[in-house]
Amino acid sequence: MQLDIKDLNKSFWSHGQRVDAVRHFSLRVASGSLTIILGPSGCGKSTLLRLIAGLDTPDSGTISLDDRPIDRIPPEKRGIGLVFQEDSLFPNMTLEDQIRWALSNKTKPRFSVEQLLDMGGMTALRRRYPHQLSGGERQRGAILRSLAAEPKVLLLDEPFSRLDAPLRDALRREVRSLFRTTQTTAILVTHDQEEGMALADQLVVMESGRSLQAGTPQSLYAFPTNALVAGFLGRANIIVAQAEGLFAQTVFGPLPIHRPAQGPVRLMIRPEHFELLKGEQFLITDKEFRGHDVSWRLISGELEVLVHTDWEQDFRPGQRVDIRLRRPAVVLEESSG
Amino acid sequence: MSKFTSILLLALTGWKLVAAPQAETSPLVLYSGRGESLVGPLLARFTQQTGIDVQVRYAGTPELARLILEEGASSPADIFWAQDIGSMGPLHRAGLLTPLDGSFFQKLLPSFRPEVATWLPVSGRVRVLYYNPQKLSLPQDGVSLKDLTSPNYRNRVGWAPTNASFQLSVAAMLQVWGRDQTLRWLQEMKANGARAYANNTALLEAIAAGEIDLALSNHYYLPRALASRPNLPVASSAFKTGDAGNLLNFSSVGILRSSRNRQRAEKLLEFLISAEAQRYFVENTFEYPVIEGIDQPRSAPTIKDYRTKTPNFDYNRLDRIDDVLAVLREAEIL
Amino acid sequence: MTIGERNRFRFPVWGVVFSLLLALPLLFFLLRLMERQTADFFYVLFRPKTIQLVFNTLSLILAVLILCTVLAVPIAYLIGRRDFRGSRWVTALLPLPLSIPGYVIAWSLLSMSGESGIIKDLFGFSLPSLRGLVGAALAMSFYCFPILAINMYQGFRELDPRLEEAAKTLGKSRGERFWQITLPQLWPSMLSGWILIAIYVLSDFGVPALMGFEVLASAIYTEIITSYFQDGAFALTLLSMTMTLILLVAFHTGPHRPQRRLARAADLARPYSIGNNTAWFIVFFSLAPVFATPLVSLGYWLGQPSTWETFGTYNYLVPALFGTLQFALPGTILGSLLALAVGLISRYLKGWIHELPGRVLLLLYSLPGTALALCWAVFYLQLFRPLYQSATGYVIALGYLSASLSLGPVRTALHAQSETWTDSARTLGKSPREIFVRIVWPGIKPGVVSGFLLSLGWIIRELPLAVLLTPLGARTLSLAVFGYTVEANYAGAAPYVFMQMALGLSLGLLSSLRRTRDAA
Repeated sequence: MQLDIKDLNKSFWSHGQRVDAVRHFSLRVASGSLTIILGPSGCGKSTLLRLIAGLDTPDSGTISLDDRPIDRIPPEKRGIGLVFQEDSLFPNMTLEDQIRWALSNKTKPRFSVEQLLDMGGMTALRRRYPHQLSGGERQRGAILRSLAAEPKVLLLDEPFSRLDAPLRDALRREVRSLFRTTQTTAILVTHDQEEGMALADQLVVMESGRSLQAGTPQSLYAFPTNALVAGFLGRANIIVAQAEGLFAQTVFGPLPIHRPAQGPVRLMIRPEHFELLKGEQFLITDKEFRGHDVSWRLISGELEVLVHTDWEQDFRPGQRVDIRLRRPAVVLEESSG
Repeated sequence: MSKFTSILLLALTGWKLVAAPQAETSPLVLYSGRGESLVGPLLARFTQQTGIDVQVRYAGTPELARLILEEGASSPADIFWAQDIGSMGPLHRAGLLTPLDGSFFQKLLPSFRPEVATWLPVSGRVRVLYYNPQKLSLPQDGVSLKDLTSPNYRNRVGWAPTNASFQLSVAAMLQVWGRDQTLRWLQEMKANGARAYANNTALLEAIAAGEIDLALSNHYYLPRALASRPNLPVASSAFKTGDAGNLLNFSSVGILRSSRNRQRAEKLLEFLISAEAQRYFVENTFEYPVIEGIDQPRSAPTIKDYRTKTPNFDYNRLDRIDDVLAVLREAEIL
Repeated sequence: MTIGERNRFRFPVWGVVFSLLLALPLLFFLLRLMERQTADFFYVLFRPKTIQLVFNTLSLILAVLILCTVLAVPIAYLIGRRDFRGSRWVTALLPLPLSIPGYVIAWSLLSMSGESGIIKDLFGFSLPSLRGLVGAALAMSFYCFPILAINMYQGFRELDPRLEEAAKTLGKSRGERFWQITLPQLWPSMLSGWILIAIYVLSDFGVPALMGFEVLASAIYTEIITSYFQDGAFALTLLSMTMTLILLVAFHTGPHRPQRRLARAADLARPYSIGNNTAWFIVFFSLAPVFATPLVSLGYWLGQPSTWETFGTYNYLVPALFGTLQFALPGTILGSLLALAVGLISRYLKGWIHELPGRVLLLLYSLPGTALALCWAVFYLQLFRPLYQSATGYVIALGYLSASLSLGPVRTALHAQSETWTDSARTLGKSPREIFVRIVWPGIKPGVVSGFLLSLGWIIRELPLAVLLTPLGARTLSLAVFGYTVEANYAGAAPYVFMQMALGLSLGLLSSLRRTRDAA
């Protein structure tokens, strides 16, 4: 099922003030794919999901499934599932009862209760009540329950954010493969960029109700269109420069840029795209060994640069170095906050 | 869940019983401002003698009067029995009472025959002054209402302004003194620390408890109370001869115009002024009879004595409750 | 649902329908009063007497609220959060004061104090007279505090212990934890209890009258019942309703914030025990005066031979008992259904209109009893004549009254329902009906039953509606009591009062049995 969102808007009032939760939001989700919406807390992700699910009504804009608008359809008839951050399992039912109840509308369910429990590795826990399950088990249960209803699209609202790291990783992978097996079209929102990049077929960065950029994780990581997106997906150095064709002049010399430009520009360079050379321009102020790489802080006048290299580079704080780009710097398309 | 279901079933079946229609011929419907403990036994005797079944709605007299006024011509009641005569006034003026046959009034003591023939007095009570004999003594021929505003009675007098009998006595004052004097008396009493109580029983208890030493009330509460508590420090006294405080009041009965049981209703009225019923009132509630030939209640002055003490009231004009309420309101008592 | 969101699109059908349904008798009555209105509307309102009465009423409300809170909170805390031997009995006894007619407690207090009081006879010294504000407040608190206790007991049960534990690990003292963590969670249930009590105090004139304390309700009674022209009735009734509305606004809990918890306190590890001695010490000191007081006068009256004489010759205790149940049970069931409907509307539908039905119920409840009875009488007489003085008509009136009382615990239970559950169920494709049956109802059932028992206790002793609206020949316990008390025969009424109390006690036992079953 393909999901199309066009120019969605939603505002509401909180404490006497108007809040624009979702602004001119557009998105297309291909059938069977996993789209991840990445954004900081309060950026409107949850509201967006509620709008898609039909729990709230947008002020304007349309939502369509396979080119059919679903705006007038109430949530119970949309066939769009929603997994909340926590606390969504019904307190008065055992795990298998919940899944069974979710299946009960279907005349010919695709999966049986046992199959679903097995897929989630929760067969042993099926007679437990929610308060007898751990956080991770509850989230898994909620996902299984939603899958049981065979949703056309499954929405997940930061489903793993309340779990601790190792559990999160394992669960992520499980869920990803579960979706592949069941060919579920899914949208997951999170503020964890690792999660976003690891799982997404399509990655969307959202901020203040707006979609900043959408694309594959690689394209967003390598070619962010603005500083926000860049910063969200990883560490980034933002440097002002004066572009002249395929090079831009910075305070520490000319740098190659990824596309031709003229005039003042902002450049984004990932820390791992630098290498260090013996030189005079920068002073190393900090060196942090991180196992898989080394993180350096360099200063040149007012400019501070972050560099990641492997452990072969043998410099020390206090020494002076020059830097060199291994890849062209990315010209940021728009100025944003 | 089963417990709940069983209660539910009980409730529903019970309701069925209640909602079931009455089988026999329609009984006489009485709205009684007098309590069931008093009226019940008497009505039982009536039914026994005449075979007429009476169904009663018991409530406060003012509530019933208001209800009848609201019900108007479609009232289910045949008879209204009030604790006093004040409530009959509004009903009479609204044309809701049927004029009674003159034969009823022939049987009454001459002084008890109202001009307006729409209600019948059934038992008498007088206004008295209760006092605590241990704390004070009253002159032989009693005090007057106006004496009560003097400094020796400061903060010692109690009354029950919401009580219908009290309001009737104010109506009497209006008749005898006129509005200005009545208003002044009320204001002076209030300024002299007269304390308001909810009802006549509360007044009695208050004297016994030492909160007040005097109270304006009806005569029959004292003998009733003394029956179970002979050591009660309360005695009663009439007011000075001719004083407006000496008011003879009656519980009264009327037949409603909406009644379709006129003849049977009249039978009940006849019963109520029969010797048997009158004796019942004297013995059970210590009230005065309204017909000749019944022994007086023992611990109270005879009616003859009382007649000399009361001023000449026109009973037919004693029903102006609104004037009473207006003057009480102006005196800021209500 | 997002807080404060305005829903522009859907017409608030349910809110409007229910508001009208509930407000109709009242509107009718007001119209009637207004017809009789003569010119001095403002004269009545601004008389010094009226102002005095308003002041008195407000003082009484404040005093009663304080006393009730002092009485109710420890008890509610103990049975809601602590486990001690015999706590079931405390739960069982709680609805009992509700079924005791007000005059019993008033008389007890009066007969205990003063110079010829029982205390003087027994102990030699006399308590100061309890007339006036103190006596009225004491008397009313005695039988109102269970309302608060039952509301708060639900609130205590729904507390999330994790918040308190988190505060403990942050080093907050017990006091800080109470004021900053516990109290805000309890606030809604406390307010709903307070508002019921405040409005009841506003409506009652019987007990204050017995205690010699004049309140607004007394004046309304006089105006509506006795005065033929009723020029004051409309003004005073409006005044009283305005006060009710002000109270409602003052006690409004603000936009509903659903409590997000992982599980109810009751589901988690058993509530920790408290030393039995401590618990019973507290219970004794809170409840002993409450229960001893009516027993004093009842015992006295039952000890009189005249009681048994009257009882022997003319008694109908059993028919009266069945009569009471025949009206009280359907009435309270109707009331619980209404309360549930009103609660669901206000909880799950957006917009201020959906708060209205609850407010209307409380407005009805704020009328002095006899005025309310008259309101219904007038309504039926004018619009639905066959319902007048019929069983159905009486049950409907009882239903409205009972709904006002049940609303509190029902609301508390609904607030504890997380919206995530209902939202999840909707995204699973479940209809509102299915969601209610499988998810919401199992969660709120204890609260609904609690509200049912609370209002049943009250309805059992309800008198003004019975007096005017029951079908002819109907017998109930409260009518029997009335039959005796109207002739000042308090002794004769005593057996019937005892039966009312026995009913109240059985209800309490039922509720405590339920609680054990819940916990199992």
